[in-house]
Amino acid sequence: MKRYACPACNALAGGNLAGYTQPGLGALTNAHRKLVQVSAECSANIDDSTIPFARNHEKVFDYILVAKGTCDVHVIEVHSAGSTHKVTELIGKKAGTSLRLTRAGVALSAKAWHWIVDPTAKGGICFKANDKYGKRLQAAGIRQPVKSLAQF
Amino acid sequence: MASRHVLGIKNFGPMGHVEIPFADVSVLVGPQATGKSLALQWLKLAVDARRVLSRLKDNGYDCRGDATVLLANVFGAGYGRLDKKTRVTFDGQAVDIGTIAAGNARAGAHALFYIPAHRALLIQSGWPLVFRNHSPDTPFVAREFATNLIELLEDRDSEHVLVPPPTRLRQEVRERLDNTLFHGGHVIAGSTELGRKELRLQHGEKTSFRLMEWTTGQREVVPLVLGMSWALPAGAIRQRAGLKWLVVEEPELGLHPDGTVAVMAMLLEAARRGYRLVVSTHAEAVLEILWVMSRLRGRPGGPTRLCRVLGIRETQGMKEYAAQLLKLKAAITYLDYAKDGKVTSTDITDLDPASETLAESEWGGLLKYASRAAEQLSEDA
Repeated sequence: MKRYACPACNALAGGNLAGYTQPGLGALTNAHRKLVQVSAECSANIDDSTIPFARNHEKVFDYILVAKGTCDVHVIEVHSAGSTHKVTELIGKKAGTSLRLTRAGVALSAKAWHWIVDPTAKGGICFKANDKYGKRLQAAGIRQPVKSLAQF
Repeated sequence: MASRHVLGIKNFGPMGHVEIPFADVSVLVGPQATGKSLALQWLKLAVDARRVLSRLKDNGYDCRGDATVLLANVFGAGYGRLDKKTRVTFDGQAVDIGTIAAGNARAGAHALFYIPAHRALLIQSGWPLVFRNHSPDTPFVAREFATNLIELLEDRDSEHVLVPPPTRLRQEVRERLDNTLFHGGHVIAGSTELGRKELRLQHGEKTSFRLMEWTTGQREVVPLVLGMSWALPAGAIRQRAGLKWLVVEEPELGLHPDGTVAVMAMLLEAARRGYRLVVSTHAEAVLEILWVMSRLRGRPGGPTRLCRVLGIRETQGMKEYAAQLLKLKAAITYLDYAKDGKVTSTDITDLDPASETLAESEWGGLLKYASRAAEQLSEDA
């Protein structure tokens, strides 16, 4: 097994998510990699990891990223923000992700939960941090959606 | 922590049936003309009835035991008509205007200090108007506030920096007010060529601005800060003798949201000292601070994060200060018109953005317009 500089990467690579963990941004699809400009020690595709169980694969965030240097754990979802209903979806996905990681035997404490707007979806970002949808997102501990992740 | 008090009002002004609970920090929100100020003036009367009579008497007003005369003097001449259906209670006890008018005046320290929304209008030609010089439509709380300002200012000369107050606030809070609102300037009681005192905004030794040259925000905020100086004794004394309540109407008047947050950092100092702080507001920033405080309570990094929200330096002293603020309990009440055309109240203390009650999820309407824009864009997509 590849040894990483960050304990979180070793936990991912040594557990049930081993097959979905890659060095750097390797676990991200090509399209999604273009949306992330940060350096990662490793990444894991949580969304793909749910497919063998054939359940709830759409109800989790897409990726875990472990930041190079700080080794902080970040969770990423690439998703449309063009409808106010998406806020409720993202909050549900956060809960689903925590459950999925628990079932996978991975105990990671996330530094932040990020929402990157899917560039192929219509509508851009339809809400603001200071309306009730933005506030709902803040209360759930998810950062406001961004077009790309330039920094953690 | 302060015990919980409740003010109940039925059939007064636009109010049908309103119940307002009070905690360490209490906030009233609601659209214009829903009775927020009237409710707070009833609170003043409930807490300080005999002292209100005394102040009126001292200034040459004789209510002659007449409830309508007292009512007009407290709320303004337009309210000098008593509705037989009006009922006001405080902690379950009736607050009866007739009984108060017929009672004896009692001099002494007031238990409730009120900083009204009229505060900028009470200062003319650089100095507060004396009690009798206000027009008859001026509510008692406004005349009383101007009188308190005169009391604060009369023994100050141009050597005294009045605003930001050098000894009444923590250094970090004072810096925050200065950086946001005064940018190195300070307010003094200067003198004209004829020796008449007036408030001046001083920048350095040579530049001095008179009242009408101040920004709108400065004209609004200076009386507020002076009022806080009156209420917050210097040194180790936490509270003025006898004073228990501090009511501030619309602290955000004329201010950028960052200025509102700086003023809230100052107002919360009053609550930390043990006053029951009551604020009416139309500013989202006020509720945002209370929302964040409720969610940071008990969290290990809570004090540091609250310092960041308030924009004050994260010194050890301020973290301890913020930890004390996080222990304060809030009560938030929303007033709005019901279908019968009368104002009712809703407790929205939790400020839960996911609440099924619109009044709560939209924070008493303060998030409504931003949310409406989001919904329209959402439907369009």
